Amino acid sequence: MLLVEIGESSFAVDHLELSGPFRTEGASRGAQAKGAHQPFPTGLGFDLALWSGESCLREYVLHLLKLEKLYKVFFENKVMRALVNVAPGLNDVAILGKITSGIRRVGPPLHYDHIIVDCPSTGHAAALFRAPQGLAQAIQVGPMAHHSEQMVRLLKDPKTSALVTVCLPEEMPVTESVEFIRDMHGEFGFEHFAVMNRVLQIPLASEDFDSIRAGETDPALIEWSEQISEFQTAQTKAMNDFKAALQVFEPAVDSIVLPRYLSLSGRQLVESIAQLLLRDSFDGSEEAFNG
Amino acid sequence: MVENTSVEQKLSSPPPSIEGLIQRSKVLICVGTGGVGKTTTAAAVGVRAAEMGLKALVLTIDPAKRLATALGLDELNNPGLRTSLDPVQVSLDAPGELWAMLLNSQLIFDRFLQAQSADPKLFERISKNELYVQMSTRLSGSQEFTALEMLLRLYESKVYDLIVLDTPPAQHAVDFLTAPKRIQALFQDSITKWFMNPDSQDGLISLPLIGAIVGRGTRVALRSLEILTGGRFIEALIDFFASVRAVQGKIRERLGRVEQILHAPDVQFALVTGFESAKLREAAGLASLLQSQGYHFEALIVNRAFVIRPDVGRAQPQTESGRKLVELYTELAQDHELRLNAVDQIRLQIAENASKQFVTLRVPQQGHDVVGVEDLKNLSLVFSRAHL
Repeated sequence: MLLVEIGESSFAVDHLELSGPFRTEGASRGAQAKGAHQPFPTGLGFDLALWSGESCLREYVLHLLKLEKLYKVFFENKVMRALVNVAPGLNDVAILGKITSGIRRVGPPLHYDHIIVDCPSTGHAAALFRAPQGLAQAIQVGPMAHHSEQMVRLLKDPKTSALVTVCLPEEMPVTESVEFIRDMHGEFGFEHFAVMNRVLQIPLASEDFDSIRAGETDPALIEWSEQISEFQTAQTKAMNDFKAALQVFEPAVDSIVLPRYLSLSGRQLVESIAQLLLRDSFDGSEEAFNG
Repeated sequence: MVENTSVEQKLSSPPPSIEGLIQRSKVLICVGTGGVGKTTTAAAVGVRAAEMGLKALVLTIDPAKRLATALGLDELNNPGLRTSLDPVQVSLDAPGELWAMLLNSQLIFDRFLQAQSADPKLFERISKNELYVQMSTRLSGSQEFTALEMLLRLYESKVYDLIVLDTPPAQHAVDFLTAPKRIQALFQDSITKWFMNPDSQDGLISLPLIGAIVGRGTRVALRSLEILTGGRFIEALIDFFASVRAVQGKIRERLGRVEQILHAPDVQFALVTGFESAKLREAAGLASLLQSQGYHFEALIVNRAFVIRPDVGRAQPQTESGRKLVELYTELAQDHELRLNAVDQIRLQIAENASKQFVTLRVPQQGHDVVGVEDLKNLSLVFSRAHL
């Protein structure tokens, strides 16, 4: 299993307090986790890699041009550097190319049963998935065009690719997530799945709030009770709206609910979620949290 | 401008207000990563400015409907409106005015090139170039560039007292700031001249001829590009550069002007972040970048903060339900304490290089989504009281 982060800085390195074959700069250990292009074991049952557009593109160009001397001339030339810096979607295609390189047998071998990609937020993720199509249209011939077409085919194959959309229990994220799933549903053949994340467990039902109104005298407690009740109502509505919207798709998109964990470190959080998902009684519903 | 004031003095002085920030800004650029409430913040600042009697404009390039949703403005999503560059006035009971604009990247890019091309046939040629069609809005940095080009146009027009720019939810907010330089680098004479042959009739270079006149390094690099992308792409590239050569000087000049105004004293940056540790870490990195690059970074807005209520923590509940409620409060308060450390670290980091007028707001989590003008009015009042 490989977890891939995209970009120049790693969230997982800080969040999971990892050490590995990379050097770091700045206050955050993950901020400049250079050297993490090669996957390394995390000790948590999966390997981790940090892939930026530049690192993936360099690897890809070297693979195509074969000669290191030629590759250096290419990247050290200011004309090429300027073009590479602005070429539409080139970095995104390079990253997707790397992600799919194992299955396409292009470039250095990538022997993993599953690759999980921590994608950017929906707007950028959509651009990432659409990039190969755009590049193939712009270039049309040559190895880059051919590889881009391969990527598009893989993205559209539900046997190869699955998309998990993670949402928050708030109106705007629900709206954007549903729109994103709808767009991706239409354009690609991903197998879809959704996660409603960070649902605050409020161990109070409407009868409890009635009881507080009727039986408590502390105005601070009563006021806070009203605020929590309002929050719970909004949260529940967002969850229900999300679930209802997912049922409209053909086929319907399955989803699970994950709780918001409090006062846990990054590592503890990941372990808690993993344990929850492995629990026999967990059926993805909010009621199953305490099962 | 960094003032010679100690960090302790900066943090302990009477807090600067959002109203003060609004008054000394002509442009306020909201930056931050995705999902932190940037758009809602931008809209609320616009509302506050209108309530202060100013004529304010909020603009966004984000194609998602966030700004329209935040303002309760279906018109912004009107396909007809998206083909124009006209702002929409927000119906608001205030002494000033609030306007909103959703930027159409393609349209702005086309209009920009059209304006720079003295010859209409030149623009027609450029707009038909297959690379231009692909690149004009998907060029890395082009969306950011068009936002900044429109911002420059509006700033120079002096029609509005305050312009609030909601930046694209870039994977890295820094992409927004580096966009002009990246595109400017492409239109340097030293690059475009390689695609020109002054001796040929139409000024265009041919693919075989490139090898004869460019330096060996560029020749090798171009041949490599041909291997990767095919000859047709190079030809389209040649045609593209030949077409834009006539306007590249103006493009560069405009980009240079954009860079200038980004550093102008009345153009301020506000960093919006959330209360989650990941967001705070990203914010710290972005804050460092803004300060190191000399931008007037004058506000940190931390959204969705938990509201500490010591009176709730001290309550003596009389019911079982009340006891459960106090237990919930205690858990949330403890969680909040952990996050507060991260917020304090960012504040200290920023304060070392910040001016005395730096605004820091901790905006409490609202009980419901902020949608529509009335909610934004309430939120803007919260901003006035949310000093950290």
